[in-house]
Amino acid sequence: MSVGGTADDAEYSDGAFELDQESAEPVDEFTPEDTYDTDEEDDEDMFLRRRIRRGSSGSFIINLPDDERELLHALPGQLHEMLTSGDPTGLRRLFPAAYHLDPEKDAEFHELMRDELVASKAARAKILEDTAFARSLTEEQLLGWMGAVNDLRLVLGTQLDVSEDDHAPDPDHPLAAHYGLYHYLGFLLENIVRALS
Amino acid sequence: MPVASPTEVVSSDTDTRQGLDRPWIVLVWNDPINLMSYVTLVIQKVFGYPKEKAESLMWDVHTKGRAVVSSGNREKAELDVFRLHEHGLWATMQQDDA
Repeated sequence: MSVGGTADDAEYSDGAFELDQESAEPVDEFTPEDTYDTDEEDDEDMFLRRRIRRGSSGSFIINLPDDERELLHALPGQLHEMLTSGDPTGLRRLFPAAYHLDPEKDAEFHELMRDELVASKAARAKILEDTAFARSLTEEQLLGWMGAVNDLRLVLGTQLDVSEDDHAPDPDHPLAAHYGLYHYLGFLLENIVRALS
Repeated sequence: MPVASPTEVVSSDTDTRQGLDRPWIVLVWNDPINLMSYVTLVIQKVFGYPKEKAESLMWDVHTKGRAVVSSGNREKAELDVFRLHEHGLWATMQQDDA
C-alpha cells in the first residue's frame, strides 16, 4: 500500500492525459501552473491544504480550482468507455480473481458478478462526472467520488506498473504526464478519505 | 448467528464431504496502489468494524502481505469479496485450512 500524496507531489507534467491510449480522444490540455497558488505550496501545514471538508448538516464542501474540476469531469467518460468496451488491459486490477486457488470457481464467480461490478463502477464514475463542478456534495455523492477516483488510480497505477516504493519516472518518459495525474488523484483521494473518516 | 441456507451452493466434484464443512475465509492482499487510509476506511465501511480493528487489519496487510478480514459460509464470503472488489481492494476467498 502507499501513503497519501501531498500537494507537493500533485503536480503535472505538461501534456494531455488519455486513459485509453489507443482510442480515447485527448482531454483538454491540463497544465499545472494554475493549479496551486505558491503561498500554499510553501506552507507545511497540511490542514491548510484541505480541499474537501465536512460542512454543516452532513454536507461536504468541495474547494477545488476549476481546472481540476474540468479534469474530474472529463476522466470518468474515459473510464466508462474502458469499462464498457471490455478491454482487459489496464482493467485487471479492477476485476481481480476471487477464487485465486480455483480457476473454475473463479470463472463462475466472474460470470455471475461482473456485470453488477461494472454497473457499480460505472454509476460512481457518473456521479463524479455529473457533480465535478458542485461546491457541496452529499455523503453519498462524495462516496461516489471516492470510488471513482480510486478506480482511476487503479487503472493508471496498473498502466504505470507502480511499485511499493514508487518514484517518478524520467521526465522524458512517455508516461511521465500520467504519473503526475496518478499522484494528483492520490492527493485528492487522501483528502476525500480524511473528510469521510 | 447466521444459519446456513438449505439451498447452499451446489458443490463441484472436487469438493469433499469434509471440505464442505470448512468455513471460508476472505483475504485482503497488499498492493502498491491503494492508499493505507483508504484501505482502512473501506474495511470499516464494508464490515462495520471499529476504526482500531480496521487499522490493525490494514497494517497486517501492509506488513505481512495479507490479512483475513472475515469468514463464514461460501455465500457470505462471496458477498464480502464482491463488496471489497467494488471498492478496488485486492480480495480473495478460500476454505480455511484449519
